[in-house]
Amino acid sequence: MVRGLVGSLLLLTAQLAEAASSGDLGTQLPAWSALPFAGILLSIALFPLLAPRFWHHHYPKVAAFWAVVLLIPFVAAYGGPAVHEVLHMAIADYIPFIILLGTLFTIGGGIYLRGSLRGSPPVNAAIMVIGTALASWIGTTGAAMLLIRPLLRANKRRRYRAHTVVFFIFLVANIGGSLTPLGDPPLFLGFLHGVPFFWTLTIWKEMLLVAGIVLGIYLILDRLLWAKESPEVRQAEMGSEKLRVEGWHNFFFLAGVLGAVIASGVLHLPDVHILGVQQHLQNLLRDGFLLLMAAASWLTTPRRVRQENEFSWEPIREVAILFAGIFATIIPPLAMLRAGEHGALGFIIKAVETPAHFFWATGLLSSFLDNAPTYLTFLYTALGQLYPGMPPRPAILQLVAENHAYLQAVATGAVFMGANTYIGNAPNFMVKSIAEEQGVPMPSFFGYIFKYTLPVLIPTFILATWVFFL
Amino acid sequence: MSWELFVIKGDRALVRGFVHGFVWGAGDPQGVHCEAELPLEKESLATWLQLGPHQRLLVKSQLAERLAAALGETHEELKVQLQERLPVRELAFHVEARVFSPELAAALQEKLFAHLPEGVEVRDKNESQSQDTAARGAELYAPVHHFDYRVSCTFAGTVEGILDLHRRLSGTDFVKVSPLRVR
Repeated sequence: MVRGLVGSLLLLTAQLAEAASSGDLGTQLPAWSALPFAGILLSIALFPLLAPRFWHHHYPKVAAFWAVVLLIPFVAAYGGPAVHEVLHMAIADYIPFIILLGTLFTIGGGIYLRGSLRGSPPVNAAIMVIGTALASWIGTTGAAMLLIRPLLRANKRRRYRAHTVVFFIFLVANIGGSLTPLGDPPLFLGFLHGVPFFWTLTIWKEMLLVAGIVLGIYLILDRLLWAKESPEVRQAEMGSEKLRVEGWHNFFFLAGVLGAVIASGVLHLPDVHILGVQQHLQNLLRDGFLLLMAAASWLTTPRRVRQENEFSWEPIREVAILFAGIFATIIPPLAMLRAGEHGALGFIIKAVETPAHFFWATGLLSSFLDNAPTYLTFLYTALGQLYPGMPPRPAILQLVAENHAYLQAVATGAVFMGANTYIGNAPNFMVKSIAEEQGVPMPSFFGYIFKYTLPVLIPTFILATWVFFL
Repeated sequence: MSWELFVIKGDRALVRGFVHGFVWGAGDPQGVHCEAELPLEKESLATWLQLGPHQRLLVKSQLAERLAAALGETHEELKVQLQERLPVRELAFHVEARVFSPELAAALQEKLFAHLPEGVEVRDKNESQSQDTAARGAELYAPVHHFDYRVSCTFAGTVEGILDLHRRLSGTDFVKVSPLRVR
């Protein structure tokens, strides 16, 4: 690894130095300065499948490898402007992103649904609907963590359970998170880059259609399989323990998070400079308030509730480490895409033209790579195509005003199609793993795709394309 | 109880119907198992090309002579022919399983090994168990189960015992069961 790192550093430094000597960053960066970005995304996608134990113990080193492969030559070649880009990415994107996810995770992990449920089709469908609705407000990871264990408990006696977990992944861990920037990391990244908070609500039609069809298919399938269950399972009484939410006061902290995020998009306070990076004061206040909400949740929630949820900091540690690498390596591709057809990634901009193209290109890549950076990549591809050379924030506002179908296509593609595979969105694997430990025989990677994604999701997305993007 | 393997050429549905009639007439409905009702290991292409349409039957030895005679008598009329008759030494099948919690591992071990039918033995058993305390709890990007139990083995023995065990294990979660091999 060390030899590879040194070799890559030398090669990239020479190439970047050549580009730096001739001017503007976005138009001069070589296409292969995007390779570390591709490398980290492919590492996140492939290592858990091909070498899970190695990845589990060494992913910080892999993330650091890709970050260093880019950052050292980048800074060596461009000096001050490169350092500014890195600091800007860290202060304006990375830190707020981690603070939001960490806060939602801390608060969501403090809510526990206790009680006996019977895994009949109406009860399962009700859990799906609640989870889908909740995901936009507490995040797909939070909603999945909150409801997967009650769902598994309710279906413990059933013979046919795997389909329920798969549809839970479709609806709660992905599609449900599409309505607010709190729902799914790509949408929060969009918000940080200037997409108005309430804009995401405009994709309710897409969400309703897709979620409605998927839920409908689930109901039919679950009814058919319910009929095949043994009479003892079908006639079993619901347990005696009453349903109740423990740590319910955390919903107030969630409301606080929601208010703070909305306020940061509405208020216009003076700008401040941190290490030379311009930052809106309202964003700093928002981040401080979110940390306060997280701390309040941590201090006021009984430990027992978190133990019931098997709460640990590991998921946030993973996000913090891997996204440090993603945010570091995404700098060149975003700069090149911003430059439009004049940048070295102009071929991508030429290849995707219509909203339907954006929906499928964003979606198919989000199926296999993490959907947050994929969203950002195609958002900037749209900006590069429609408003080349314009600074991102005004360009995004113009995109929302004049060509919102592009943004809708990118947002829905990234969020919906994260459900296409286990590796499309972070909570998918988590849900699979929890279900397997509870005795649910989940389909394999390809079994999931062939048995569920291809017959259920892909036709639904084709219909959504026809209805909304053609 | 000893068994024989019959290889019969001819129309599959006709043979099956004939055999069903025969076993009911003989008063022993479980005395013959047709290939269509048994998850037998597939034969090689060469065997298929050599024999043409045929099917295999497992026949209790005490019925074998009578069935062979009955097939011989109707050979012309039904155009079926007893091609081969072999004694069955044993039936066998392979099992692989993997689970991710100690409770499931204990339940699996119980299911696989605690109540073996009479005349069935376990061969080539490979068992491994690992625990990774660093992998406990929910993980988003680096999911590894904190507990991993794998087992594989071959069950071999009498026809009745193996058929019973194969049926019991076929629908079990996390257990992959191979087709039956006749030896």
